[in-house]
Amino acid sequence: MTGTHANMGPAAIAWRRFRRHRLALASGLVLLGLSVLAAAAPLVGMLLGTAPDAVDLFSRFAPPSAAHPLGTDELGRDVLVRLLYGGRVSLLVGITAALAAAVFGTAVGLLAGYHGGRLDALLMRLTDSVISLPLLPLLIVLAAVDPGKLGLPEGVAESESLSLYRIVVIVALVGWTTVARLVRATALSLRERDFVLAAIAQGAGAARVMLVHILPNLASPIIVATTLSVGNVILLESVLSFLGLGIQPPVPSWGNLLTNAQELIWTVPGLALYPGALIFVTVIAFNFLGDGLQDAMASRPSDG
Amino acid sequence: MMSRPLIEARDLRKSFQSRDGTLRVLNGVGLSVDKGETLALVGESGSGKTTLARAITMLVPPDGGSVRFDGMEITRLKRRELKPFRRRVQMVFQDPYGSLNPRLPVGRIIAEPLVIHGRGTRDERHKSVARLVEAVGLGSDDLARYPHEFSGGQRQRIAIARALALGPDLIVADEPVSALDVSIQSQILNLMADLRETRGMAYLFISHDLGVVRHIADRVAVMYLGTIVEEAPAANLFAVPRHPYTRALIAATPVVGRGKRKPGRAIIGEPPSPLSPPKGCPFHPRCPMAVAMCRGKVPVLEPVHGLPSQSAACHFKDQPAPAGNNPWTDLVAETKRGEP
Repeated sequence: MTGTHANMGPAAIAWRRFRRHRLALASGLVLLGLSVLAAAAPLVGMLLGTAPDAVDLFSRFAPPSAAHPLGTDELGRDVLVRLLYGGRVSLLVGITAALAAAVFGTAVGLLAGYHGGRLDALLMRLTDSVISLPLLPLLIVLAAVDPGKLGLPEGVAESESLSLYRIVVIVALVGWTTVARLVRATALSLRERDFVLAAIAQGAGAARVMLVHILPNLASPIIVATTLSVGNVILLESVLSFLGLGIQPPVPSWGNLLTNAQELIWTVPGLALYPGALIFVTVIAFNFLGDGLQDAMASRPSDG
Repeated sequence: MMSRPLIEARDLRKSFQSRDGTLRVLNGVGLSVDKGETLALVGESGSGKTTLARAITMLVPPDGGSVRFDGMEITRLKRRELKPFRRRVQMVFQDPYGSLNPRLPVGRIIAEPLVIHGRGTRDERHKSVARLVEAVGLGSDDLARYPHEFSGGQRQRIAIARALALGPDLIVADEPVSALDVSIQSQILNLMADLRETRGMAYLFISHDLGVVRHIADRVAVMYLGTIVEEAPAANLFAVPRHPYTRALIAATPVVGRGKRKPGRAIIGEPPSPLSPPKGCPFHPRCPMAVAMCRGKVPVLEPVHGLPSQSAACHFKDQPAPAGNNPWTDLVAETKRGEP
């Protein structure tokens, strides 16, 4: 093994193994493509000479054409452009919320797992109580909070992307528990490993032990869990938006595009089909990607 | 008065709670190591050697007893206050696969003690690390590589280089060679002996194998079920062992070499469980010399009559073994063929 892995860091080895995982690699490419398209949404809009909220009541439900590659919706808006803009929102919300939840969960799990004792008990009971909260009613209440009354600056409270911030915060508030539990369990076992004892014996402080010795060894489970949770967040976003509690129209997201389409499902099935398919593909791609990362990073480099 | 020892532990006690009851791992253990001296701590697995090493270095705080380092009591210090002690006492662990952080390149692993204690500038640390890897027989092009790229022996060299970085007064080595191939063991032992010659630090060298410590130890302490049962200068311990357990351990060590070959003899029976240690002498259930007194009265570790540098915890420590025939043949059984 010394020969084949000469001069390769753990990351390089993981990448080598990941490349062998066809499905995960393909999923990664699909997600990359979707992200690039979503990022290029304004460009696509410009090329087609339209905007996501440009209403044209004379060409409602237009079939696909050169001007509207996927046709138009009930207000004559371009479906492709709206899908791409929606993708920006859905992907952004999914990734940001998953990352925020991961950061918070990691901090909680690391402190609980490393220090143990009372702090651990306290933090884990907190985690348990968040898990036991009935999610949907809570989200409905949180979504109904008037941010103007929370003392937020007017610019934020009135902004159009408020529902976007709000959903990121809500998802992060309830979503950190998975990562916290995972990190705690792994930190508990890492704490007993000899290299951690060695660091303590050298005189390393708690912060150093956690950040230099435990956290880097937690990177793989955290990355895997976060990747898997992006898919869940996108689903949750679509559920909330479907219920009218998520991203507020006219800002498009895959979730609220689906909501709009529900009355027209028999007349213009495409309107529901496209965002539905995109959610499906994205969520499943994130799951495959997470599985692939897990296989690539799960075992210690020495086993490779 | 004699100069004070570098480190002195007295009456250390440590218990762990388990589902089946209280596990008394250390039952009032004492030992001391002088400056520049190598004390070997020997005993079967489960005798509490590793816990003792961790209690002395305050990795597992003892329940009771005292540890004085260079005259200073350290058992009541807080983690932050222990830092000067940590600088002067370093550890080498048994498992060189587990004691190196798999996510750090070797150069950073060796430099870490220097970083923790704020030694030197980045450049100076680079130079120290280069000198250290050379001292343990590795190349400077190894510094950018990761632990998994090295063999067990090389990893233990890395761990030793890390332990040397701060120029410690004492290195506590917990079975530093028992995870290595036999062919590698002597290399590492020689390296440790050479380093002691050039750098003059003391070792607390823990091993389950008397054969391993024979050449490196100045003194040997034998541990059994959480207590020290015999302690003596290495030469005495092998020549005139006074505790039946020591004799059994010596008999259990196979001897190799043309004409000298002798199979190892296994000690009869298993060590008693620390969950329910026997009353009286902890060794009496396995001891061929045991009499009624041994079942009732715990022997104290005391100097052997006529051998002031040697102590043993046995009611019969002052009766030398008769020369010629082996009075503890009952104690050991010929190792059966095919058995490890």
